[in-house]
Amino acid sequence: MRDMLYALLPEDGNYVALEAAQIALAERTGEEASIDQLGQCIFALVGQAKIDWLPDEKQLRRTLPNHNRSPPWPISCERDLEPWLERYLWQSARGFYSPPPPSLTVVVENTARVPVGTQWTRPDLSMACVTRYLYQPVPVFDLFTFELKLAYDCNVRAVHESLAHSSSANFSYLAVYAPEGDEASVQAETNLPIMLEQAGRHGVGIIQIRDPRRPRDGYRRLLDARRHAPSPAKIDGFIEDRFHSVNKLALRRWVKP
Amino acid sequence: MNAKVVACANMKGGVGKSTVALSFAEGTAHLGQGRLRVLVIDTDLQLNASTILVRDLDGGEPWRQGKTVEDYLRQRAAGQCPKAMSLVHYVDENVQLLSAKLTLVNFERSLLSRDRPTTMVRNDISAWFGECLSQLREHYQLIIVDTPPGLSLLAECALQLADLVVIPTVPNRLSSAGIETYAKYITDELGLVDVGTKSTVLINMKPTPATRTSEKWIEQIKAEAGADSFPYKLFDTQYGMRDGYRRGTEIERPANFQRAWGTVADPILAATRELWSFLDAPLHQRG
Repeated sequence: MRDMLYALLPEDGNYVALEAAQIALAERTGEEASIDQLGQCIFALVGQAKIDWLPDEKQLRRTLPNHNRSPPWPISCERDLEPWLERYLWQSARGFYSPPPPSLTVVVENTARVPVGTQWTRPDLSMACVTRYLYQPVPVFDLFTFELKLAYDCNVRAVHESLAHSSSANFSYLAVYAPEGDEASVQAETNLPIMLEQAGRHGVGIIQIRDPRRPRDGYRRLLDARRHAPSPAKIDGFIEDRFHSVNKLALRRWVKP
Repeated sequence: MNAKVVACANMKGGVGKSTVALSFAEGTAHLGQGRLRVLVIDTDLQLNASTILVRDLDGGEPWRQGKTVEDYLRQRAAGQCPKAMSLVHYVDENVQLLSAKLTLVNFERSLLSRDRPTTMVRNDISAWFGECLSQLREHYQLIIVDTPPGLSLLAECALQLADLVVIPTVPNRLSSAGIETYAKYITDELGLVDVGTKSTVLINMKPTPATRTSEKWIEQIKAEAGADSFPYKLFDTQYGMRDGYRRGTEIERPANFQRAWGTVADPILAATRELWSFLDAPLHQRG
């Protein structure tokens, strides 16, 4: 089982959610592996330095020589922020629903460098959520997209870039990294009123990141995104092109009534 | 700096894990002539290594101040990004301590739930402890993790993450059988098949009838070194005079190395040199 688990992880070192790996493993072996068995395999593979386990995100990936165990700090470019936001999303996905659903299953995927689409149709991170409610006969599927910007890139154009993603997602967010006391953050603050006005008009959400290392209080949702209803075929196409096969398999399983 | 991590471990108690951990710390500090920095991470709830290094601070002990490895893990479990160095207790220029705390087991248990079985909690602790070690590796040349007898989740993670595992043992029947059980547990239950190749056994205590130790068991430990099932190596040096080691760990600081350890200083230094050769890192090139 250990070798099979390793074999199903993406060769490029991308992450796979634990639950998705569990489903993919069951497909391969024909029998359900318990979380306990999976945990044992992970411990042994980490011991052999073959995989990394990310406890906050509940994800695993193949270890590649250039991998760092912790997200980069300090932040010098958008790419450095991606793993931090990803960690936040894994931990805080429930907070995007009010009130929180009784059951929620999440997959967060880094879609920044997927070689599909243009700058305007390529969000940095995407989050697929499957929620279940007590008296709803079918699960509800929501796709969230997140566009990351550093403070000096914080302007109305960024709002419109995020809006473009709503053509294939239900909720689009712009996440702005604006650490307190930073000169670029001060400039970003002056752009904020017009950004909020535009975002509010188009239903784009805005997240302000003060300290990406602090998922509890380093992130503030200034504005919640409104639900968009793109064609289901568009959402299908987006996930098909940009999500890893293991995650796709898990999503297909989760959305079954 | 990029410290090597050594775990002192054995399921059996009373074989000298803390003594060996401390003697390597002090031995490295002495041989490094002030250039090498060693951190002892105590994960044993008995706090033996911590108590010996801290001495009496009248309430200022790190485990009373929330400066322990458990505090790091608790903060990390709460989603924070603790600075491991801020939890280190400064013993002297060369030897420092990340202390244990009595409630470590309670913390491990508190993480368990129906959705999070032991194996998954162990993976989380391993990742958090790995992050802690990678922060600390920057500041030291050697990190020694003193583990509790019987193992704990954190101790198992230390075995998984260490560059070298030192197994102190006593040459008697139960301790020799203990190595066998220990090897079986690590390879079969934990699945850590590589631990055997990074393990070295250090024989502690001179064989005497009073302690039911004998040459016969030393020979057996030697004979089993390198076996396929658990291919451990063996220290040439043996720690022999138990009282000397006890005195070494009890003498008041500050004391120079020879004064602290007295007649047992020579084997400690010899074993420390061997330790560094097992680590493929000659002492004179470090620092």
